[in-house]
Amino acid sequence: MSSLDHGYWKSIAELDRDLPSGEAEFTPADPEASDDGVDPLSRRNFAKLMGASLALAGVAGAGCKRYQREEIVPLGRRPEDQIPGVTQEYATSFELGGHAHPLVVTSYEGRPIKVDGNPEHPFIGGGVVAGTRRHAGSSAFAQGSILHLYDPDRSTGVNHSGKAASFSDFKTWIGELRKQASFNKVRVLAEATSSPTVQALRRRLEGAMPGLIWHEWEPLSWDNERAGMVQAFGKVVRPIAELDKAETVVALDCDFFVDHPAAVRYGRDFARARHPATSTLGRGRMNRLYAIESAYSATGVMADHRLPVRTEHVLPVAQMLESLLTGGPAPRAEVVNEAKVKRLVEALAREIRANTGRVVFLVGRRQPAAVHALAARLNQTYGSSAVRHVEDPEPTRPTHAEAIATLAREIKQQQVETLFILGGNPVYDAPADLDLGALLGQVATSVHLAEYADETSARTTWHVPRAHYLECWGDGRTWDGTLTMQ
Amino acid sequence: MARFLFPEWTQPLKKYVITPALLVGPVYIVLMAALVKDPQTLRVGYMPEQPVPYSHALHAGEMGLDCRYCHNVVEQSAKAAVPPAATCMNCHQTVLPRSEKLLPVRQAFFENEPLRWVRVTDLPDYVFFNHSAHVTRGVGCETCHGRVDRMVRVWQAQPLTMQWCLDCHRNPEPNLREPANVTVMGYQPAAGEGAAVKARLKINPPTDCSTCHR
Repeated sequence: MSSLDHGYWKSIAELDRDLPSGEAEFTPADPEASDDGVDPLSRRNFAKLMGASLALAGVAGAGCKRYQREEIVPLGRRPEDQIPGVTQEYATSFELGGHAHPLVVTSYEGRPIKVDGNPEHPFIGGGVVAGTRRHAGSSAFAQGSILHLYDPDRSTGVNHSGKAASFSDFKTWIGELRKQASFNKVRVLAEATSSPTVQALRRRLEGAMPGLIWHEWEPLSWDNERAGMVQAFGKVVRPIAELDKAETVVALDCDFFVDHPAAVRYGRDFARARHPATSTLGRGRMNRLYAIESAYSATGVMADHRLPVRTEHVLPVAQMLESLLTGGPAPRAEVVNEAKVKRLVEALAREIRANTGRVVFLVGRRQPAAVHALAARLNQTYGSSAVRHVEDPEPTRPTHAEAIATLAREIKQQQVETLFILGGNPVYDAPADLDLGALLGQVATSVHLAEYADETSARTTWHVPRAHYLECWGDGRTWDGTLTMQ
Repeated sequence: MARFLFPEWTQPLKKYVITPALLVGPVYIVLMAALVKDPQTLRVGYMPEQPVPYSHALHAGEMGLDCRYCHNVVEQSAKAAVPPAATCMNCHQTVLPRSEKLLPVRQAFFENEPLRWVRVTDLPDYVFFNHSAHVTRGVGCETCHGRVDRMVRVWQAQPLTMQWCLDCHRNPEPNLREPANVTVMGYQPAAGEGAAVKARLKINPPTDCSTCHR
């Protein structure tokens, strides 16, 4: 390998020697010839280009140009109460996992720009400092939800079998569907919603299409808690903690500051009982938070005492606590004999006895029904004044896991010809062993209503773009059942 | 260096043309930059063609409409806001309802085909001006916009330079009047009126950068 392969050489002699045959030999340069504009950055080229640039700048500037011409385009008819240049606030709500979150959205000339919690909603009930509107919270999910509205990746049109179609095509197909004699092979798979309007529409649809079956699937499901409540009370109820009245809060694998439909309310109530100067428990007092959890969460960060245990060990630890409090048999699991567990559980049991009536147990949705039932028993005994229960709006519905398993079975048995998937992304988030993505191939016609063309849309025959919650009317219920407009 | 030898006859050129040009040229360029590029030259008097030949001289001058009949949000908003076509149609449903010139207004009102007015008073995008802050504190419309009641087609009356803004922010009294009279054209403030308004409304115009460049 010659040194020229690297493109560098140390002397003229070396260059001469290494030149490949057939090429002109290097000769000492003729100064006139070398000034021939070959080098793109020669002095002459530089001057030429600069001169041209200056001349063009002169042309551009010589026109005595004003600013760029701008237009003012006022609305033909300005909506009532809208003042151009001034923001407006609208009360609305945002639904996540089938629970409404009350919001106030700031809008500028018709465009929403900011999401906040609604301090005047009964479920939010003011700011952290009682009697003020300050810091009425909203969740990170609510804050982020506004970005979907402007996301250029949002789906904008109807899609049929991978090709763009029009909405009237879709309406034509719906019209044909309605003419069918029987709707026994029509199914709906809807995401959970607390909206009474959607429930009413569902009843109307079931009336208009006899035979149609409506399934509900929700990955952010609190079904374990429902099962636990049935074990404890014999019926489906929903526990609502009043953390501003709780001296001791025990979170059993429950990140109630983030992953809870009442997270905003719980966070505020917890904070109200936290500062000794303004505590709702009385001047100079503050609550105490115990977190027994398997993953580091925001609740664990806030906790005064945090016990990290595996998810499946939360039950024996809770059983140990119950046996210390009620004198029942201790669980046989090894974990309760660990020194750190023993120390914490014993101290916790003493504190719970001392604060009887003002203790709250919160259980996360990952935990099995047994833990929820156990916590419900403890709440009845030790949290009588800080936990209340409300009726569930749909006490009879099957669990989400059962519903989607039923649908998968129906598809396998060729009982589904038409499937409407309303919201959600079940191909992505349904239990993997059902293999819903492959099963959708057995459904003759499937429709996916979604904000994005996602994994589910790719496997359905129709994709219909969905309006963002800030683009449409609606309603819903918060965790405590309060009716809320959207 | 043979290439830089010039013929004999070019010598007078060198003496009478090139040398004076080199001496006078920079002065000329600086003068042109200062005079031609000056906002007084460039912008004052800018009078673009508008989509509708709306005459402020007729409406605000001859007929005496208050500025705030159309620019009705000026006291609440940063923007004076060009009115929606619906405001025009309040009268023009009955006045000149078939006028050819008003066709774009009717299109805006009935067919939602908005009017595209050309901005005359155009501040740079890095300047934030708030109409309500000025109008409610007694800075008259005519102070910045000139005698709009005499303009058939609106033109820019003031240079709108930073110097011009700051002159008033440093010494607002000559341009202050009773806020009730902000829309009066050709207003002559009484002696001491500016000082009285300034004291009563506690007007202390800020001059720090972030007031306007925010």
